Amino acid sequence: MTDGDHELQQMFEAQRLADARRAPSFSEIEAAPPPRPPQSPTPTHRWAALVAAMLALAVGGGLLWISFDRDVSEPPRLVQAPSPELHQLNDTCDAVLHAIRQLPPSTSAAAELDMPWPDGTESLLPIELASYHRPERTLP
Amino acid sequence: MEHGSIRQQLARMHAAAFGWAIVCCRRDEELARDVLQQAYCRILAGEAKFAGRSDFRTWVFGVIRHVTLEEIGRQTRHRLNLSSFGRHVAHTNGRPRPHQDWVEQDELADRLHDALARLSSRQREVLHLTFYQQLTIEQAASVLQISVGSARTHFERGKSALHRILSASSECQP
Repeated sequence: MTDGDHELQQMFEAQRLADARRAPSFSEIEAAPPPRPPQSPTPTHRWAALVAAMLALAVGGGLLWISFDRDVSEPPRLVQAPSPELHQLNDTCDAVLHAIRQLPPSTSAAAELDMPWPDGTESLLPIELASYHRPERTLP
Repeated sequence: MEHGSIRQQLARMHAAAFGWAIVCCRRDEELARDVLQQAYCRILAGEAKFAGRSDFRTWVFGVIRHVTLEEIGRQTRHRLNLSSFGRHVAHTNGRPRPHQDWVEQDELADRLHDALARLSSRQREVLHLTFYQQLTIEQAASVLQISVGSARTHFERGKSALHRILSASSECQP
């Protein structure tokens, strides 16, 4: 043992004596009322905790499912009002189609296939198809 | 071991057991009393049984440490709400006037307590068991349920740190 250890030994001895003066007697400890047992959860508490946990799990899972489901099946819609040009083009097409339906069958087929587009461009259909002649229907 | 014999041995080592309980409870005397009573109850009721694998004192210290850990875990919130200072003052108020030797002892003990408080809990426990309780390092390792090598390391490092802290504090004193 070094000198430092002896010094430590003396200090611990002083602490031991000081503790011994403060220590309650053995009979005092023995005679004290028994410590209160720790409160353990009752079966009812356990069941309540279990049900609460399951409910929380179900609600959380449902919310998660809804949020994922919406993300996958419903992509965000791009709502855009139709432009006036689109309206006009639509009306033109309707008028042309109406006029074509008024023609006799053979003429209407040829016109339908060979007519120029409303914006002035030529039909992209082959010429052979444009000359197709549908047999005339005979009315009873 | 018979009940009467156990009780006699507990009574013989009561002061040492209280000293160990105080260290486990970090100088909280009120808690140390509760812990000691619970430990005695368990031992005397046969809930904690001495198997004879180690020294009786070592085993009792192990039981006290175990009960302390349980009690601290259970009463943490309660302990935080109480003022340990108030309890300490209330406890010392009823004491007789201290003898001169007691004053010196208390000064040394307080100085040691302040220095020990700056060590890790493991180092503090190993030093207490070896210097205060006069246990060997092997017995201290058995009480703390750590390896002998680990206990020896805590002992050496704790001792060096304690020397350093005490010398620094003595230099600071006028």
